[in-house]
Amino acid sequence: MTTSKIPGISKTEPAVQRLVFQPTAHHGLQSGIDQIASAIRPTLGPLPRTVAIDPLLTRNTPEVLDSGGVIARRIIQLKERDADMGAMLARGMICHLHDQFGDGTATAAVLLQTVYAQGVKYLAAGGDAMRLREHLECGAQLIVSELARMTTPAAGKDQLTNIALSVCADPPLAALLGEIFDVIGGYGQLEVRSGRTQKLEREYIEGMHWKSGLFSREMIADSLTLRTEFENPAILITDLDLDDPRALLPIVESCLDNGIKALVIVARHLSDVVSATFALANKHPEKLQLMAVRTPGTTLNEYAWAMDDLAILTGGKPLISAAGDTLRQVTPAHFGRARRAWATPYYFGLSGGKSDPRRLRQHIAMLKTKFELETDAAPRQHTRDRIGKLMGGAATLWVGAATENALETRKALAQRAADTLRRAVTSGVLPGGGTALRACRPMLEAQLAQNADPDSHAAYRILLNMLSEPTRIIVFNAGYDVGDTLATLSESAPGCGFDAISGRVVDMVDAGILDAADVQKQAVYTAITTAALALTVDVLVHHRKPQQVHQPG
Amino acid sequence: MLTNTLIDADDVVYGLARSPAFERDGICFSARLSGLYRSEDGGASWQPAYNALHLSEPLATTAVALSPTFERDQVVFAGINGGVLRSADGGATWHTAMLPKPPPLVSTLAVSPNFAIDNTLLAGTLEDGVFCSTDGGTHWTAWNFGLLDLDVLTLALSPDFEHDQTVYVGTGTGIFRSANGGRAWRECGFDSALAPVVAVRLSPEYAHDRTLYAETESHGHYVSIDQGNAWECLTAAGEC
Repeated sequence: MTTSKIPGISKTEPAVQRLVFQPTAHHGLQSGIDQIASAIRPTLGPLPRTVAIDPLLTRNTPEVLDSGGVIARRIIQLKERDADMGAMLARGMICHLHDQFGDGTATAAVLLQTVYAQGVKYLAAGGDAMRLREHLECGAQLIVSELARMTTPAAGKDQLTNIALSVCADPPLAALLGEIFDVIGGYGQLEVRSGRTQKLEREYIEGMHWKSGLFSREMIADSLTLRTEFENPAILITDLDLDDPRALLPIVESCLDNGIKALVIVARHLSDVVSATFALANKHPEKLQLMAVRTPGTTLNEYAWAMDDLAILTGGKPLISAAGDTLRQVTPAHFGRARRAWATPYYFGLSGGKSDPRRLRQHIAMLKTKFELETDAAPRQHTRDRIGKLMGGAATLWVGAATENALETRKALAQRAADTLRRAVTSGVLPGGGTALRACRPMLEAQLAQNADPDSHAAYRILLNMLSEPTRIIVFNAGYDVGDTLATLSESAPGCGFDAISGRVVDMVDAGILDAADVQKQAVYTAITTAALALTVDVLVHHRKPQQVHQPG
Repeated sequence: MLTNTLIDADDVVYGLARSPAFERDGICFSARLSGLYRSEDGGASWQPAYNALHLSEPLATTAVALSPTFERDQVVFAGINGGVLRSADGGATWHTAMLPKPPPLVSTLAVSPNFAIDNTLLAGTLEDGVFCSTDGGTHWTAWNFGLLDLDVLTLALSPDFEHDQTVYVGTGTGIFRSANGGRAWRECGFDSALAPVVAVRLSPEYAHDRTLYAETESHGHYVSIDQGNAWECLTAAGEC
């Protein structure tokens, strides 16, 4: 018996481990995967059913969900320990997909369930798990390549609206998101905000803007709109501390000598004295108007990137303390230029930056490469935002709803649909409703015919069965006869699929029923490789957690 | 029918526009440093079109465009520094619409082929990109999402603009295409080393053949048969 070092808590049982061998281990994992996949399966397709989750901590009404990712996240433990391991394996995969892509979770859950169930049967019949895994992973690569071959660019508002509709099932929201992404493209900034009314509204913001505003309210020119606006300003970008008003003299002299009538200083720090000097100078705007805004960002890297982007956009040359620059060195070459600059206490923006367009293109191309290579979500999003700013525009979507709960749900849905649209615009689209996956069958059938190895045969057969599974579930969820529909589909022309809303077999591209290619490819690959890995698990080890008994102290 | 006409040596012609029924009515306009001029005899003689404005000094006019239904509506647009003038009587009287400050210099104007219904026209400017009006030239909004070069030298609308909403702009460093009426722009595959692009023209059968032509300042003429993705030089070898 062990005793806890924490006062008042004693362990009454020894810490032991339980080992689970085959075939119990496979059955346990399968049970868990089945349970979590079955909970998410009703949400697949354009006519999803919902899942009600009992709230954990409060006595509120159940949470009604139709997002596979959120449902998986809410399932935190199953009672049976073996099944729990399988469920958590599936949950991890689904949550990862949800975090990365915001969509494709139900498809992945269904594929994982199918591959694992059929793989277990093959292993029970004496198959080799490691070789099966190898062939499944090879098959996954082939399917992804085939999907890449089928991918076409997303074009036009209507296509984008249909993709949004398949995610959010909210026609007005989908129409607005389709329009927004047709304008801002895959890298543009979109902010989803709570609306002031129950309606949906959108606003496009011309030019670039940053979440970083004026140093002092004394610099606000229009007290009604809390905004200061300059035409044809010069822009000085620096990370030097502006503490001494006398240090500004070379800058002001350089402006006056070069006929500059308005100056925006982008700096990290501005003392109150310098701020007051600005206010004083602005009393004579006919000579020189001044405003100072904070360098956008919160970390040293973000400051450096913002200065870099601003310099490229405006054609200016930043003064950098680490490079030994001082304000005395200011020359006209340091000043960037823009047609307009505006600032509020919280934001500042530019339009018509006098950059060299060729240099700007190179910079954007470099950032796009960085974006593609980046794997972590946060830096990836930051790079995407930088590209969006440099491309010159942003949009705000104001989401309204009748109640606070409905508003939050609709905002989350809008964000999820927006993430999918971004993917569709940047990575292209595939015929939806599981059609693209079914279209991979001929390629896999050819592979099957070429391979004599039994493990390889088994892997391709498992994958062939898997490819029809999403369509089967969509048909079932929409309330149609699965056998009849699949038989009709097998005789239909390539590219045809089942439109669950109209109940007819249609050409999916013509009907605008599309999926984001990136999401589909990742869902398929992740599901197959997760299932293949799970199939190699031979033994489960449970740590029995000692029961804790509270002893009043 | 157009004839050689001598103009003042100090004057500069920035743009010409002819009536859609030019072969019959011989009406054309020339935008010049000294103002806008109208000819009714195919360019043999020119009369100032700004008489009704009673200007004390010449109003440099940098672009001119006519409505596709000019014969019926007599609508003329003239681009100046900071705004666009509109006449609904063939240039006899004018209304001014100012563009957002600071005043942009209008370098090119393009009127929708379906102007009688959609009231849409676009103005390209030298420093501020593209402005669009959807109310016949009264109000203008900047539409520059994705336009990485704001020095717009030429604009061209698809003959099937009503359906495909396609617009091209030629700039100082390349060609950009919009598939949503100018709301957002994507760069075409035109080599920026060949720019500036001073003219872009679309095939009358653009909806079917996806063909467009580009004229550069110093590297000859180019054709694309795939909506601007790939380009081929049309000028004799050695001139491209």
